[in-house]
Amino acid sequence: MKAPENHTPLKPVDFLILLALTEEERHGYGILRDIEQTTSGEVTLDAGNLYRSIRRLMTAGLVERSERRRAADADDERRRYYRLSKQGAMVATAEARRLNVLLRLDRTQRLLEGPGS
Amino acid sequence: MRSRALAERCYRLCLRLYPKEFRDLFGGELMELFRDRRRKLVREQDTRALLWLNLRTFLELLTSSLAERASSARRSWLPAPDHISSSRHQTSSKGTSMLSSTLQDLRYALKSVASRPTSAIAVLLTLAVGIGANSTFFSVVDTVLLRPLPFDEPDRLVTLYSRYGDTVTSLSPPDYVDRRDLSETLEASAAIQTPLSYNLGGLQTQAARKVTVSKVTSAFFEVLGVNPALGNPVFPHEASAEAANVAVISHELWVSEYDADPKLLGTELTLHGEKYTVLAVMESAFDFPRSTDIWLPLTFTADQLADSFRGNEYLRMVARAKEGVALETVQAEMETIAAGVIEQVPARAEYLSASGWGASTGSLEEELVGNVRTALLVLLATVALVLLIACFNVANILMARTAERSGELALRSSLGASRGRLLRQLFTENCALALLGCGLGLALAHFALAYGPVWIPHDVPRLDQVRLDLRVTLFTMLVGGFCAITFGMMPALKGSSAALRNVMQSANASRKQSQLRSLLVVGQVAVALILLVGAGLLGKSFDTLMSTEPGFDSDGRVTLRATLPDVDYADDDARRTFQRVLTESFSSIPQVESTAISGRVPLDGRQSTGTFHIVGNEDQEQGRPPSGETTIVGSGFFRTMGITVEEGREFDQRDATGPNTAIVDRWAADRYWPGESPVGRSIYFSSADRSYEVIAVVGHVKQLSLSEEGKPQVYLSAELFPPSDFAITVHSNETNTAALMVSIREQLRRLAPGVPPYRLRTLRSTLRDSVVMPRFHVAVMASFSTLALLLAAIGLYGLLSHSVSQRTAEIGTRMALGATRINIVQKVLREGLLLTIVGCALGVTGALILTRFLSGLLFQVSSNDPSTFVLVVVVLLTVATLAAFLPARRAATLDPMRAIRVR
Repeated sequence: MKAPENHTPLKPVDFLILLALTEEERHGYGILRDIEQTTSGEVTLDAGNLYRSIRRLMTAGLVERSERRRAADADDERRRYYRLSKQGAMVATAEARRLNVLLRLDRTQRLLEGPGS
Repeated sequence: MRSRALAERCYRLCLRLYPKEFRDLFGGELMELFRDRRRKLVREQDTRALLWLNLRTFLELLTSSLAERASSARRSWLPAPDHISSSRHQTSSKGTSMLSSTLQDLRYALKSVASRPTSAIAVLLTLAVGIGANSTFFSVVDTVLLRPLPFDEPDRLVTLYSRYGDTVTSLSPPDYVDRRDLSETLEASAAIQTPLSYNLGGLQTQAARKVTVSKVTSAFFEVLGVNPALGNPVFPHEASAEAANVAVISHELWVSEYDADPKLLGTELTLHGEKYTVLAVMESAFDFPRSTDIWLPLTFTADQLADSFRGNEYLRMVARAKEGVALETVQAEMETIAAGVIEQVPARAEYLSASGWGASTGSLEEELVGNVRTALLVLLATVALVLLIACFNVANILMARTAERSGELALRSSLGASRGRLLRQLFTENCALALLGCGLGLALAHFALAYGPVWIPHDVPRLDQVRLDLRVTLFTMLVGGFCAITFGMMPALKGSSAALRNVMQSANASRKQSQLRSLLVVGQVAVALILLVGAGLLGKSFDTLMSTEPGFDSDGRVTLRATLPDVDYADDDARRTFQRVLTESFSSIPQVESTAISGRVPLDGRQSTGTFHIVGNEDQEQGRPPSGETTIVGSGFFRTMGITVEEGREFDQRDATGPNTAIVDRWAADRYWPGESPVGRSIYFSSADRSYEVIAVVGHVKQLSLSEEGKPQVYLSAELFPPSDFAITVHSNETNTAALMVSIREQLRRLAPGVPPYRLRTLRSTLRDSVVMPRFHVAVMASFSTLALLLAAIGLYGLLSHSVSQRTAEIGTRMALGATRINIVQKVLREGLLLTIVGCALGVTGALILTRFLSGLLFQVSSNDPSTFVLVVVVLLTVATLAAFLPARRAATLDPMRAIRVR
């Protein structure tokens, strides 16, 4: 298993997916809606690309399929839930830390306050 | 429910675009997700969103499946990466990243189009109209007016006539033979006798039908270089004394009369009671001489070829000039040949040289399609101008659109997007717009050609043959597409990406751009003005044309034509008797006021011009005898047609037996008997032994067309010369003309079942048909210029509303400082009107230069007609004010406080 830092920087979409799974397990549509809501509609993903990212994250061992199924969905075999692996949680934290460091740099601050913002 | 099942089935099918292992992993979930999304919208019954979702989903599916295939291909070539940071292996395989970023661009483009739909729709509509409407109009006009002749090398074809002074006449058989045999410049030549009316009966046709026959000599088809659709049109040589009974029929007759039966070849048809064997069927495009149904062989007897027959001029001649021989050379040679004839035939020498006899040669192309070059140039110029306006519009909207997005682009650039990347994104976006616009344009053109002709008067010729002109369509698509792509990218085309950021934001650059955009609007207004002036001039000319006095009354008149076969009506008496019976029987129809026979009716396209002499005035002729149109008319013709009899009396039955009589019109009276009355004087035609006393003067009638002044007119009595091919006019108070026509048809069938009526129609419709082409010109020009006006108005509106929205804060400040709403409205209006006025000034200058090319199409209207110019300027200013008023009002209704805070 690689150190979490070796996975960063993450693609923004991948990071958003990991974020969406930090609180609870979600199925595909749930992830899409969560991303839409948390970014106030700034980022919309289409289904195909969502699953392409999920697949990438699964291959890297950051996300895994959950065997658990909610009662309401018990009738549907195909609705699968995804959850963060331990490694995934660590990578997400590492990425957040990395971004945080960048944002807190004085120069970044000046950029954000400067003209043209 | 059905639509849901269908959408899901489609989706399932499209899922196959993904690689199999991806599908196996996620196919079911994708399906489920699609269902979830749809279910929500179905519950809310939001059909529009549903439609949008379907569309978006399929587009997304397309792009992401392509991307997945690309990356799965990459995976199979490279060892599986052990980490997911994509930025690193993007550099390891540039090709695929290029592909997926293009796909990303495309997705982004679609999103951005959807996010600013108004300007995107405006661009699409402008492109669609600029490409679609423009190429449709062009195709219609090209086919109707300028269709290339269906002949082999048509520019080498010439028509040959005789002339007496300036009056062009037909040829006699010996004249034709002279020209054919003595010429060094002609490769082959043929004589034509046309049009002849025959009654076609027999075979499948039960009732007789009138057909137009042209008799042609054996070289005719070879001279023109035309091919038959069926069979082989070989006619016997013209010198063979025995006329062979063979016929070639037109494609149209073959289809309408014989259901395109290929077995028709070799069978016989009956013309005026005689049998003819069908040799060939011509191609459908071949229609020469115009509206010929059947071609028969033309042969000459020895008598007809003798010098004594030279006075009988009834032939047209068409020939193919040798390669590289100019028309002038042919004409010069023909004059020499004609001069030779005068010396060769002493009996006619004096008469011929006195009357200025000579040769007249013209190009067949010119004769058939008229002044093609002018019309084509006017049309192409119009297409180019409308296209120019459309491009101005596209440029304008796109520049405004990109300017509005400068913030977004600057952001992307500062987030690290390279200049190349941004350029590529803009390029993809504008390509998508251009492609969509072109597609819409094509669809519009297709739709217009499929359903448009319904709106064009059906009597415009060849409408059924209109096909989309590919050259013009491609050209407009190229220009429109190029324009969209260039102008959409313009702001990003200059400087580095840092400069790009600055360009986007600097006030200087945006001022420069808005100057350019103002210039574009000025250009649009100018071009629209030119086109409107063109349409205005043609419209005014048409109006003048319609209000000219034709010299007869078309109200309540119905006319028809019929041909009496020689077999049954061999002599004058038989014809005279029949025609008297016919007029009486028509007169007995209720509501009918009067009926009269004539050789032709005004404006029916027939023409017969000849020279005559005034007894006692021959010495004043000086080689130019009086000439005029000669028409044969029956008793009561002038009363029936509503033509005024100014002096003397109409023809009546006395003229059949009494002294020979003639009637002249006011023009002839004024020109040839100036200051005196022609009544009581006598005229003669070929021989002084047979003279005609003038018994009346009647009003001048427009015989050829409303626009042509025509010639002096001479009338002879149908009682004296009962015509075998004749027209009959019925004047009635009956308002139901259809019913009247039915009774007329019945009466004729009862009296003579073997004589079919043709061209049964109201005189009013003949009048209307005579102006089909001028009306068509007006309609074409009006369509183009309305298009131009609309586009220019959209351009002005777009410019002003963009400038208002850009200056929201400024306007807010002004209002806060005390400017009234009226001040604001005035300011915006002034800005719009200033541009319009500059555009008008430029346009008027352009129009003064360009409209003289229209003068050939104008009737009694100067190409610089001031009232038209003034009217057009007023219309433009009004439309411009309207276009400017909407943004002005929006500016005036801004809330000052909110407007200031916009920044």
